[in-house]
Amino acid sequence: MSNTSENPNPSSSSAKITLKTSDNELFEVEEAVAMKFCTVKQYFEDEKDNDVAARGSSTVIPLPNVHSAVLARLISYCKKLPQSNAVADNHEEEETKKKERKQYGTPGDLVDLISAANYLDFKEGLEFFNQALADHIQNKSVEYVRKFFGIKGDFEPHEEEKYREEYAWAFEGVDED
Amino acid sequence: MENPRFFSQNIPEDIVHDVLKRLPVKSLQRFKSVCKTWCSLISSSEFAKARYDTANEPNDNMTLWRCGCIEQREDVNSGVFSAWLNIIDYNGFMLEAKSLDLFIVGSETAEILGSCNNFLLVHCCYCLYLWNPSSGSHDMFELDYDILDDSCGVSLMCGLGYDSSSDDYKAVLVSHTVSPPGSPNDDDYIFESLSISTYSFRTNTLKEIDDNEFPYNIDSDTQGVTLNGAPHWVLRREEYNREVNSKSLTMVLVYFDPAKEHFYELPLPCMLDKHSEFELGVLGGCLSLSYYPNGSHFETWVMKKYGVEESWEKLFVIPYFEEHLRPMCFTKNGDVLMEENGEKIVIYNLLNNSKRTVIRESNYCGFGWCVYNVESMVLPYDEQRLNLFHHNDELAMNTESEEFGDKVPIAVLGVEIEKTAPPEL
Repeated sequence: MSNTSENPNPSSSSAKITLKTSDNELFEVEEAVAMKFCTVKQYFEDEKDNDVAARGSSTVIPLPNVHSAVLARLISYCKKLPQSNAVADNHEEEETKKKERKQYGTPGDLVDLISAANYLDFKEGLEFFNQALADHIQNKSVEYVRKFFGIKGDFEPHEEEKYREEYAWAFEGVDED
Repeated sequence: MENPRFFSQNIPEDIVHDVLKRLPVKSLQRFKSVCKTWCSLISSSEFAKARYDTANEPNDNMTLWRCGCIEQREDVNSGVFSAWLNIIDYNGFMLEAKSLDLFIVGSETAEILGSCNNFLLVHCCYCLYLWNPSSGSHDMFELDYDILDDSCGVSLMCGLGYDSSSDDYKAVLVSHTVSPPGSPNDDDYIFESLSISTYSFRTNTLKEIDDNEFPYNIDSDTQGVTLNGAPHWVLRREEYNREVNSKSLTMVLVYFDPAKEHFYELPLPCMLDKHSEFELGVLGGCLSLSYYPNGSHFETWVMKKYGVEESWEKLFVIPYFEEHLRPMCFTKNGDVLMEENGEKIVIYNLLNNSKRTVIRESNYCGFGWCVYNVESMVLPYDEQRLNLFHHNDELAMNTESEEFGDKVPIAVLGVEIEKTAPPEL
């Protein structure tokens, strides 16, 4: 719950780190932001150990699994982090949060964001986007979810039918695909 | 269908796991049919544990509550009675028993008439108490009659509300008295009266409300469920139909606005048979209604958006039942705490239709239940649980006598969130 790692005044921060995405775009980001990505942090610290002089210089950290469009979104999320992680203590606030989670793009974008956050070992981001994905699939049909996750149903048709009959209530009020 | 880029086959299992554990019970029940792997994952005890742990994180939006039950014990040697509040925590485990010695005298019984925020409304010995079981503080209001005197056909409707504009807790008591047949002298004479009063604990005053403002029937004891500081009841409104020249009774959802000191109605789900018997509760911060359509299964609905008729939604269904259930609240991992047959408290797991008993019948004396909330409750859970099992055994031994077993509790309600604002309309 502590936001102490967040630099209250980013413009005064000296250290910047350059990240290079899979499509060869360069991103210059605040150290405080980059250090939220554990993969980057690890890389950065290894570099530092290897070459003390590298500190403060323009190290470029390659991120071959992350596309520039996705990284841009992740960085913009990082900057909003404090309020995103505040506790929602009532219904309206929870609704606002849901809307906020929706802003980060289409479900397809979420897949990319989750993959990238997972690769970067960016815990807060991963939690946030996993929750956004949970919001998204909560009212979806079984067929939609199978397609979305690339899963093949392996129940016998009669087993599935029986299950649907038995738990008909769980299949009510499902969104259109 | 929108066209998302789908996950490739090699989506890490722990991400799927993490997404699933954030889903509500209804979605999980549906997604068990996605594939066998998901079915066994969702049904596993590890998954239940993970959902529980997620809810245990301080950053969650789960609500904190405690459930209390008043129990009267008799000391075998001295014959002296004492009353205790058995407290269940929001994991569904017995936590402790608190003595009501503070205001119980002799063998008088105590009943919970309502709850709101941290407070319980307790009735004992012609007095109303506003009691905070956590701090032990209480206010008292003396009544000049016995509101629970059931010897002359009194039905009581009660509840506790909070008026945030004046920072005042108010008790609402509506009693409907019907004189017993044959009294006083004339067989045809039936004396019927309705008395509606509110008690302000801040000003320590009683106020009568005109019974024209209350076009409802109370034919049995009914206790309000408090949400947003206002007690709610399901009542019958008498409607006169001119065409057929007859009266009919319709179920309505009524609440008392503690600031305006007036009764208002809320919409019931339009598709429900409004002649059924409903149990009211608060689940996940929303009003809930439970009933048995056609007597075939048990359904629970919630009003997702307060006051909006279209927002009523079926929350869960229990396909087979034998007992009369009354949902009280969710536990931390999404199981439902319910009163069963008015005599014990069970935790119902919706995913595998199993249940466990929290308070056994032998411990239950039927003086009243309530759910009230406690703002912060950081406790060493495992330690508490050990104590509780210990304590349960002890209770079982102490309450062998079933003296109070057949008393019907009038107090069951759910308050899950501390909400001080009056209801929005």
